[in-house]
Amino acid sequence: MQKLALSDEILMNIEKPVRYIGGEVNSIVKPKEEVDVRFCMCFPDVYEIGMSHLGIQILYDMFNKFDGVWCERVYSPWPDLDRIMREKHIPLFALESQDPIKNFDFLGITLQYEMCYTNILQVLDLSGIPLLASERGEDDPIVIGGGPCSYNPEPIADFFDFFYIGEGETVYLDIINLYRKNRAAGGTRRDFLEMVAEVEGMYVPMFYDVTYNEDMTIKSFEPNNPHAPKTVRKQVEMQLSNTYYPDSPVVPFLQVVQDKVTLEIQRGCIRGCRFCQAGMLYRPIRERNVEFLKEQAVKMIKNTGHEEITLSSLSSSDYKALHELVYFLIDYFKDLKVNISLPSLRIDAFALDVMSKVQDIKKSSLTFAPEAGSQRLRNVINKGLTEENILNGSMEAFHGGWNNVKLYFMLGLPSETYDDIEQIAVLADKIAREYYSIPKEERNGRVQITPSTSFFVPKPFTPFQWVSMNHEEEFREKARFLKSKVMEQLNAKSIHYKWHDSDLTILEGIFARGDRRLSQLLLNVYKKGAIFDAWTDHFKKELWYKAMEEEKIDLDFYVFREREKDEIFPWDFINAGITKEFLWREYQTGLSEKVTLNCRKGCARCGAFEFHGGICYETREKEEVTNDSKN
Amino acid sequence: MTVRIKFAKYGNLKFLSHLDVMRFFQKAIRRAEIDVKYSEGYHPHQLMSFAAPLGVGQTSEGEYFDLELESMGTTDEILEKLDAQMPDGFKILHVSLLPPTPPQTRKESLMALVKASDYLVLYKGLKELPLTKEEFLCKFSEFVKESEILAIKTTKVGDTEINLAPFIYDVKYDVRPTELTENYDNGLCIYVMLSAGNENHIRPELLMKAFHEYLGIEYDQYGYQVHRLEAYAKPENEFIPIFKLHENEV
Repeated sequence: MQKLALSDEILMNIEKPVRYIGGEVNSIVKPKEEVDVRFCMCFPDVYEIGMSHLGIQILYDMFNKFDGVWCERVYSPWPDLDRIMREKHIPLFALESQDPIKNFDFLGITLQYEMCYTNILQVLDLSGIPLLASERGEDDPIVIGGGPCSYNPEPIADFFDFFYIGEGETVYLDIINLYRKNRAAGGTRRDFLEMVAEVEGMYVPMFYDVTYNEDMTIKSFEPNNPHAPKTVRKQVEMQLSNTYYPDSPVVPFLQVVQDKVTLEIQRGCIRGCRFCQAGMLYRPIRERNVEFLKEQAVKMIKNTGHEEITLSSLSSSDYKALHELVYFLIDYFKDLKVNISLPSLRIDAFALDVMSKVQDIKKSSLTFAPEAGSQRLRNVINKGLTEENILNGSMEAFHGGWNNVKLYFMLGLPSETYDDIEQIAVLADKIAREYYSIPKEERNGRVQITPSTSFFVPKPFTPFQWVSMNHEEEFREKARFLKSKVMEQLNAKSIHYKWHDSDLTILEGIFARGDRRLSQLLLNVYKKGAIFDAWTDHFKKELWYKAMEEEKIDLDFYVFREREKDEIFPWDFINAGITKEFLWREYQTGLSEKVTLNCRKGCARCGAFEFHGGICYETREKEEVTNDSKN
Repeated sequence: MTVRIKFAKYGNLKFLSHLDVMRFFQKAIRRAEIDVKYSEGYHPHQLMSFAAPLGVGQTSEGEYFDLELESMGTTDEILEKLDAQMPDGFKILHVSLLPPTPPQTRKESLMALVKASDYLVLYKGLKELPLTKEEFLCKFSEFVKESEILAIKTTKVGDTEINLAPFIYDVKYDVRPTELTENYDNGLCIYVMLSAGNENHIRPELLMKAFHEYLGIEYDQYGYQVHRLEAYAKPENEFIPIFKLHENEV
């Protein structure tokens, strides 16, 4: 048993000591004499959040399959322990070995959302690793960033030695081997980073110089080192049914957010919603083989003992073998009492059948994500869902016994008018009216419609990367307006409108499309004491506003500004497979309220074709056959 | 059919809460592919019930739960299958099959059976204490002979003062630490047997705190480690370890 890094007295005086003791079922401990590379994987948020993340489980399994590599985990110490570690100068440690992270070869940090950026600094700081990459010495771990936010790594560029842009399954072993080679040759940290810079998908920020125009926009973004390429092309795993996927994920002792087996059925999305970054970044859509998934599901349930399995993807209904897979799972796991959950499922007859088999109808609800209230605005954002789909789906569900409908919307979408917002209330009311059109004796009590709104944040690599974001006051005004419109509806009593506050939205907006000058803001606010910003109880708005004032951060520039077509964006050096021309075209098509067909119905020439596989080939082949037959 | 499982919780896993332990076993039982019985309904759960919960931070080799099964081979098979799923920090010690509950009688809960528990109290260091090991033990033996040992027991309804004396069933000074206890080189180890269960559950900390007050020295709740050895039932006038209760019946 590993000796713990923290004393009994400390562990007994903090919340949930189990967060810090490791030793979970399926966690991996290797004999140190067989290990020559130590890698620590970090999710910069609390254990229960970090342990719920599939990506880390995949990479943890992969690294530990490499000979001589031992991959461990670390999460952000909660503020109670954070305080004690600073007071007593206890260095941050990895869960498995309980060894200080400072002694590792690599620290890999996953970047899932912008509001965890101060926690990155916390992890580095508590580890005793210099915050700025430029100040790190030969003995410090190499700090790597990855995950969705690395598609605009610039606001945190100064803190990372390099970013791995794209999917992790492909070239990590090459990188580890370069590290070994460099070490054997007695090379320096810089030598290694120069080798890394030559690997496709790797971005070493210190090898690039940025200059600015007088209006603060970027004038040039150029490599300053001959080893660094001008453009960094993302890594894509094209063999999703023949790559790393854990048979035995780590099973936490603590109740975590996603306490279940997660089965990623496909990666990418055919839908092309114009606000959705994931839908653009993970192109082309690639399905995993259904037999592979069945085998994987059985192994993972057996090896974890979890009571639930969830299918993960951006749009499950688009997975071609979904019926086969779901009915297999229901059938196979029925006697084993394994629950099956299917988020992101389009409500149709199949979905209702599945839901009635796996859920308690009385307690479950239907979920629709129209994202915008009016058809006009749904066309702008290319959200295919129509009012007819929603009303028909609801009606079918009402006849099946459901009486609880959740609706997700965004406020602040491009071209949005107050009429579009009012339509949210009207749509909610129409659903309620449908319900009450059923004869009373066939109804299952009252209906409950819960529309909720979040505020739209424009993201890089989406057709809306050019648009301005709403001001905080506009957001609040829109939410208030919607609230009043809900009250005016006939069935107002059945509609419960919820909205998320806009405190974090503006910050998210700054970092989503920010540049490397923002590193100073992060350093400043971190030194003032900001951590766990994603947690309402710990978010200190006043620290942020003070830091922004001190660093002269111009919100109009970063957030509230409509960008020029040809402006050089901080993330333009990344080739994510989708071209800027395509994104601009989509933006203009959106403004003219026209929809673009999904990838299966027609190729929109986004650029992902260059990865030679997935949906692109299926669709284009079909188109070419059709064209040939016309000729 | 119901099996009674005795297990140990030790080492780093002493920090798991009772809820964590229950969740851990639910998953371990599934991994072991034991044919456990589930409740009816949309959210079926395994039919299991635990004996007296152990305090977070304490180790034990006297923990129990009862598990209802649909079918089973031998108790040895259950022990082997389940123990194979234990990480370092849990160990399955004993599995016994309970006699069937006679018709028309309500099944007695495991929790209600427990009448006493015995513990080792191991002091981690003596540096902070202004007395030697011999003085410490001497004082302790005087202390437990008092006819009135008052302590404040905090319960859900509020604080009440109770006399611990009648609930101290045994004290020994020659019991040695076991394989699963944490060891400290000063060798200061006290054995106590205390009332436990649904009524008059006396946590060893309550006694140790009272002892420190008796000594007039500052109480450090982290200065010692508590290790539970066994839980006892009292079917007649005698305390019997829970796992021996039905030894001759099946």
